Amino acid sequence: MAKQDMESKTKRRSSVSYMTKRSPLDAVIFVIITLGFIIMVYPFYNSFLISIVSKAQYLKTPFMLYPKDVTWQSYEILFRTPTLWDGYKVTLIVVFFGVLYNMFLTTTLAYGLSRKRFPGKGILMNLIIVTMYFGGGMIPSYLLIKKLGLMNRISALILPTGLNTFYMLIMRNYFQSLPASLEESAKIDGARDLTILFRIILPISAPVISTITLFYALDRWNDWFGAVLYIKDVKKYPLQLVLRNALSIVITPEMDHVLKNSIKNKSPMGLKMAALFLSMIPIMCVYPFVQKYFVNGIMVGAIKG
Amino acid sequence: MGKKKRLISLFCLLAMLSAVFMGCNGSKDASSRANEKGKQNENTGNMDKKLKLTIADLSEYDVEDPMYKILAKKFNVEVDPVEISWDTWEQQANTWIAGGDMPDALDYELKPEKMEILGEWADQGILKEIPSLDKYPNMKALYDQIPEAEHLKVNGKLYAWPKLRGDNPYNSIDSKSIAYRRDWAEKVGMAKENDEYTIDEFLELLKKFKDEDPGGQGTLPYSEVSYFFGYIANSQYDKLTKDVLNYEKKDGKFVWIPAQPEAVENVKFLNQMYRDGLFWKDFYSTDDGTMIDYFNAGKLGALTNNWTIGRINDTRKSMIEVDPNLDFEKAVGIVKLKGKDGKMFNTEYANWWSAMLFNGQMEDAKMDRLMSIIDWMHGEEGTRMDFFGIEGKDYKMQDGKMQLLWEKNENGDLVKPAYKAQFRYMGSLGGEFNMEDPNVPEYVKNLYLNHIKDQTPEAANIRKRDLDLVYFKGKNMTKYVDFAQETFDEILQITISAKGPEDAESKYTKWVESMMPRVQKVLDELNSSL
Repeated sequence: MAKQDMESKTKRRSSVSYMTKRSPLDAVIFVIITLGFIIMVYPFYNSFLISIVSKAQYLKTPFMLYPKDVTWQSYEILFRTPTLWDGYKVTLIVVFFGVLYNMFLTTTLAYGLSRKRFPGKGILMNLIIVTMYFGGGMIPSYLLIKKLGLMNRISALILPTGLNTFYMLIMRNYFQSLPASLEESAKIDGARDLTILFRIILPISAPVISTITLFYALDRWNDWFGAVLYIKDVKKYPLQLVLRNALSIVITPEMDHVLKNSIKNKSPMGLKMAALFLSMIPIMCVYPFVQKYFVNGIMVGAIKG
Repeated sequence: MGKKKRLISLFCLLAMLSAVFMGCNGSKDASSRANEKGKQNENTGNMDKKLKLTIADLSEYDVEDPMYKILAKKFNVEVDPVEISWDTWEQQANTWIAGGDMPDALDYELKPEKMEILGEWADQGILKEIPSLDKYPNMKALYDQIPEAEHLKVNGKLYAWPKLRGDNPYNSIDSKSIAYRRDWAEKVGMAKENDEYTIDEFLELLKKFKDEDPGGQGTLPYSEVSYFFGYIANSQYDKLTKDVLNYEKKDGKFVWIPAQPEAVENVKFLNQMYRDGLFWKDFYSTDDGTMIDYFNAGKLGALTNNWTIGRINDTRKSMIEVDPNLDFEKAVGIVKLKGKDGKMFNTEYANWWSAMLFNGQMEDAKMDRLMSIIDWMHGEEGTRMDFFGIEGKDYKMQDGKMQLLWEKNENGDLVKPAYKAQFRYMGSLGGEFNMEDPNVPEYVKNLYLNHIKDQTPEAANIRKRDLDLVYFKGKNMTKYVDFAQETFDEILQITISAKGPEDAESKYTKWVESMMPRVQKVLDELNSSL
């Protein structure tokens, strides 16, 4: 017993001494990593400072360590943009319903295509993959949306982009990597395909589901171009388009008189940075909650025998 | 099994192709549009019936705005504004037109090279002809001020309403020029009376800016906003500009200006300037807004830009915001730069920009209403309203003179009321307001006007705008225009990378040779028209 205690103490001591042992190389690595950290974080920090200082301060010192003359004017101007809150509302609707819609289509298609054999699988796969490379183009898409009666409706921002082929292939590959015995054991117990998908496959696919959900959420959050074409009512513009329009710098002097008092002529470096944070912060708040699903384990033992 | 797979693949392929061809069949819609005529409305000319108008342009409308309410009531209209985004303007316009969703009035960035597509739209009945201007005298007066307006007609009919800029009341000279720090020039002992510099003197000034740092913040000598890159090289030979077509007649035949030996000299000049450190070394990777900010912040000694009155005044306000002690009148001047031949140089510009297009499906009554609105807004009362606000609230008339009632901000500047009912923008750009703007000091107006007025034919080489060339219609001309963007991209590349005059010349000459097969197609087309 005493010998075992001695051995474990020796092991602990040596592991502790191993951990505390430093070399000059560690110092170099530490410095490099710190520099890398500063290089990556400083632009972000500086952008925030630009958003909270006056224009004069920014013009004098575009790269700052700390703000001297704090003003929240940029945020004030943006929050007073009449359509900003409408933009948030529309974007949240599009993200919520859009992601549900995307995930439903993606999981069902990915699961179906992950099954080994069914008639027409090869042709179907090829047809789906072709859409990764070729699209109808802007005007045919516009005509389609118009014919479907979706013009100027929020559903025009949700329905057309039902599925991202690349994400679906990722999910399909993940489903293919799951043991076939899971499905077999479920079938033996009398489960149907949809039951297997929703009750067995999806619960153990949390990592891929959460990853693809985040990808879709980001895509929906950042999307603005569809609204440029299909939405004419400014109250239905998504957040990114509202911010983009607010900051669209019009350099040409032809518009000097027309936009004299418009926000568009407010020389907007501070506004740009404020808009950046307004669009970034909500998504950054969500990310930590989703991140843990990437890290957690996968399979709970469901295979018997 | 292999044969079966092939048959299935062939079937799918044919099905896809059929779908594509079916989607291309729009001719029936187009021809039926061309055959339809707008109904003659007995109410044309009166405003008893309330009309709903969809207007898509870069200005702003707000149905709650007080000026909007006044004008909407006056014209008995309800405006459904369609916002255009500056960055996606062309895509939006083209998509709406192609998709049959064109608003009643659409602002379109019309340029001479787009006349062919305008003609196609007109032929297909997509656009409505602008009626005779006899009924709209103010619009006629605007039209008469635009020499190029006749060239915008399609088969003798006007379908696009060009918008007069209005910012230069004297001549058709572009306001492209160099603003510089006159106070720094004094500091380094190179101030010139009336801001007149020869090119050698100006380069010497830039060198002193660089070496002596009169700004105290690491003075950057000179820069040009992206669209005007190469401007200063025209002090050598007036050969390279983006905004006038790069073709000219030489010995009775059209030649491509970038291929001329003088253009090579200009390229060498730019490269030498850059290597001497007289150009801000990061200019090519800096956006225009930042460049202007640097000038305003007192970091840049001289900047080429489109220095209109409005632009100069905005710079004045920004510079004073950064340095409240700055005496702008003494600090900033517009350089009268003289080239090798002792003359200034500039280009003639189009005194209009962008145009309103009108939906071909629109009723005559709507068209008449729109014309009436534009006409009234360009009369005395409408102009006063657009420029100064609502009578009784923002100004009052006393004995025929106007008294402004605008509020003042903390700097003591009068604040123009910001209304969102820019009906006048449908007809013109309102540049003439700059001459009337009470917030623009006289010395700012004079700074601009003196520069413009001094560019007489005796004192300046003015590159004329050859309208026959500008509006030349040819397949290759429409396709390639004058390769301006490619030319300036290449010149920029050589400016920053060439190791010396021989290297610059060699690279540029090789590039010109590579371009000639395509350029020759346009030249052949032009020369065959002679």
